[in-house]
Amino acid sequence: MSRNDINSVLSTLGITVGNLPKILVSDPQAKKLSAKAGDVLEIEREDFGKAYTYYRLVVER
Amino acid sequence: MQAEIIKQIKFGIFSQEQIKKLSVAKLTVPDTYNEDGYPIDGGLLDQRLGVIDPGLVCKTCGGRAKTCPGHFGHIELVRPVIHSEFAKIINMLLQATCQKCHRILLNNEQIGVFREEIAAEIATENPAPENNGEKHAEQDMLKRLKSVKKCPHCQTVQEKLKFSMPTYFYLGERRLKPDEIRDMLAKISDEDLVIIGVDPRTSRPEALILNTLLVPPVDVRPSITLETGERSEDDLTHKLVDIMRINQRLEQNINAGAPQIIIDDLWELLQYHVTTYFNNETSGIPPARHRSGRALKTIAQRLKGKEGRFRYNLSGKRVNYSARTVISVDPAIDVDEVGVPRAIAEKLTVPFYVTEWNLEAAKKLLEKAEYPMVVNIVGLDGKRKRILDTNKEDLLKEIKPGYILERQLQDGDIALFNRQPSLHRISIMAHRVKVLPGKTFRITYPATAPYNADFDGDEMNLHIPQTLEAQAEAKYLMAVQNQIFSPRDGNVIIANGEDGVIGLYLLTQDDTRLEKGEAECLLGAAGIREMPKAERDGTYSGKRVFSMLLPKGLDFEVEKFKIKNSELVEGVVNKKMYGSGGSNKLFAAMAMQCGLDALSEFLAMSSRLAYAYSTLYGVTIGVKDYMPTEEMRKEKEALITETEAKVRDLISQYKSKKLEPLLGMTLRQSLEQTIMVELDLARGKAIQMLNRDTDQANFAMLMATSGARANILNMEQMSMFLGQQASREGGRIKRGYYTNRVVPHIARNDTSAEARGFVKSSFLDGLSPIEMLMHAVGGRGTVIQKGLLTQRSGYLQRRLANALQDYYVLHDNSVRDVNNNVIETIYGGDGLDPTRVGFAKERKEKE
Repeated sequence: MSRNDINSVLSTLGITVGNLPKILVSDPQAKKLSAKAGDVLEIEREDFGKAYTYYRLVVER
Repeated sequence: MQAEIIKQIKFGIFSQEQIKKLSVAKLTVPDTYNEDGYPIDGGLLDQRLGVIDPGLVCKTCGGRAKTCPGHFGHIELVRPVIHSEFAKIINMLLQATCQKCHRILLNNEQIGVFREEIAAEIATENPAPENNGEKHAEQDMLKRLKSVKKCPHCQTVQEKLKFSMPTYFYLGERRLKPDEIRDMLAKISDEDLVIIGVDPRTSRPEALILNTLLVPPVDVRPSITLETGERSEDDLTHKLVDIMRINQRLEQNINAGAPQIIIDDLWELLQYHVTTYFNNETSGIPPARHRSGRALKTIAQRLKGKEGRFRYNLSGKRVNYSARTVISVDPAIDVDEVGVPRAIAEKLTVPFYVTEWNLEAAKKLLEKAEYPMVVNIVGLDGKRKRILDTNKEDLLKEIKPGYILERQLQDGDIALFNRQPSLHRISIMAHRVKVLPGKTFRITYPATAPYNADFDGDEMNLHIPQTLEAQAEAKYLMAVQNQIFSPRDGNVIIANGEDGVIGLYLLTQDDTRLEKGEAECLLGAAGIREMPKAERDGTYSGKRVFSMLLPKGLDFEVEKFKIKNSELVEGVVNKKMYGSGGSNKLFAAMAMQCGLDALSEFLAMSSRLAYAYSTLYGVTIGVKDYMPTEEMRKEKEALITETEAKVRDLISQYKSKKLEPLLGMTLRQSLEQTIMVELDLARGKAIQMLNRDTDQANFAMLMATSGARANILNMEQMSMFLGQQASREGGRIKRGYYTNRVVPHIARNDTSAEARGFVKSSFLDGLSPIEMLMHAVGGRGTVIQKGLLTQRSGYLQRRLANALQDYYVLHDNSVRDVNNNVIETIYGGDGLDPTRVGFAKERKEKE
């Protein structure tokens, strides 16, 4: 996600980046996207017919 | 003043010097009081240790019983003893150090590695790497030090050190005396201790060998005076007297130059007394006993366990404004009410906040001299005063806005009702108080489910919220009405069963007709004072009577059941739509269209109607309801013979290898499988027979079909035959006796129905001994499995609930924790509240 998108997500949720769920850089999915620590991933999920978006902050450890 | 925040607490060990500094008196006399009843100076109740008798003055601080906090004293032991609670640590220290030069048994290189690790730990301020699952490297290493044969510093060969509980140490064959051990420990350098993991600044290891014993103040071990005037001392005082007595004897013997054996014996006795003084349940030694034979309660016993200082006094919180008693049923009250005994209602109070608008009402309340009256009054200064006849007049004049009257509990007050174990949020619900005669709390049958309560002696707790905020929260968040639907899946939890179901089932049958008087009685019992429209012949239909309870403006339709404009036009009420569980769609419809309060009222009224009708109808069961007719019996016999023949046939097919194997199974498995299917089929047929031949007025059958209690299988097992028993790991039972048969009475390799747990008898006929065994084997299996399953899943559930308990859903439907971390961006992926999903569906269907 771009800086702007991140900021808009953070302000709608009323939080700082640190409050987002985390994902390790070493996570296979993060590697696939070649994400760097500090990036925020936008994840589109579909569980049991419920589609929703959530976000994960890429972290070193 | 801002309270200080505790960053850390560090425990250490008092050195001999510290003990002496702390002590206000050296105790020398192993006794308590002299003949005049005065504390002996230098005795265990020396007045310098503080005073507990009123009138005496503490010789240390000059305070009296109430103001003197007590002061520590000490005993000087003539020979040192080991502190038994630290024996394991002493052992570890001795193992880790050289017996000659007392250096740590590590070479300089290893020491360097440890130093670095310790430095790193301090730098990261993370002194406990254990929490990552990694064990302390130090501990690992220390274990290995046991096997070091030669000191890397002085090259001394290490002798084998043996430690035997609780306080014995041997070097080779020779026993180490405490003074020798102390000398060894004293020679370990501070630097080495740091590596081992002991902080020498707070705990020098030689302090683990006691030379001086700290004596707690008398306030810690108060003596009590019995009615007879006799004094009875605390267990700790007794123990200290023992220690001092032996200490004195040991001293006399040493001074008299007694033989070494006698001295050693006394020394060991001293060790025993000191050990039991700390912990009278030390393993390996007999507990010290009181004259009466009761084991003494010493220091460790005071702290340990459920009744110890920690769990009982520190964590054991108690609350005011609460009550506890046995519970029982009362169908006459509402589902969201709780019946409270008058005696309890008189004791518990609710605050009445006086304002300028209710001043007159407050005065009127205060004037009352009987039951719902004011018990206490809290003035503007916050001081609570009891109301008496003597001060009532004055208070009536004094009262003004801002005062709080504490009034006795009365009908309609909000109370929290709870039953342990509180596994659930619905284990505590808010009820409306209903004051009743009697001594038990009363709840309705439907309200029993969330608490998992029954009335075989269960007790429950009642709490009265005191502030208006608490009352409002309880009323709007925790009320029984709000808990009817489960937050897990939206299923109905609070509903009727048993008599409640069968009563309505019978009442709403198509052909139920009631006389006018009967209808009046029933509706009266339910709490309705109007009559429905009569039929042309002057009778009343059961459906119409039932419809009187339905809240206004209700429309509902499922298969074969229809309510139109609050009138039951088609169908019969049964457990499916009226009982608890996911199949109950009626309640969601009612809650949606008429509100939760209406639903709760309907629940209470319909229970009463149901009980009244089942009483009127005369619902009863007896053995005759399970007695099959002669024809049924014959047909059953035929069915069993036929089934047995089929099984025999299958077995012979198997033996002649003609049996068609099932997909993915061996021939053997296929045989078992087909036999099981066949036997199951037989039971199915028996059920069909029952359904076909049983009289419709058979109450056992009515219970099963209405869903009130039991099911058709239970009935089948009683009147027809039990069928396959003792299913083990999905298959039929085959082991038990040593040649692959269940009992010796069965031929070897017999795989027939009977040989593998098929029971032909019914409970009514009685079981043959072998059948009985098969049944018992199966029964035990299920019991054990059930027990294991509930235990495991219960613990899993508990851990999960504890881990998730502080998460909450924010107003934007995201799930947060206490630090505002986002757990889910939208609750459950769809932001839906399961308790309202039923409502939403209901609405959709209407549109």
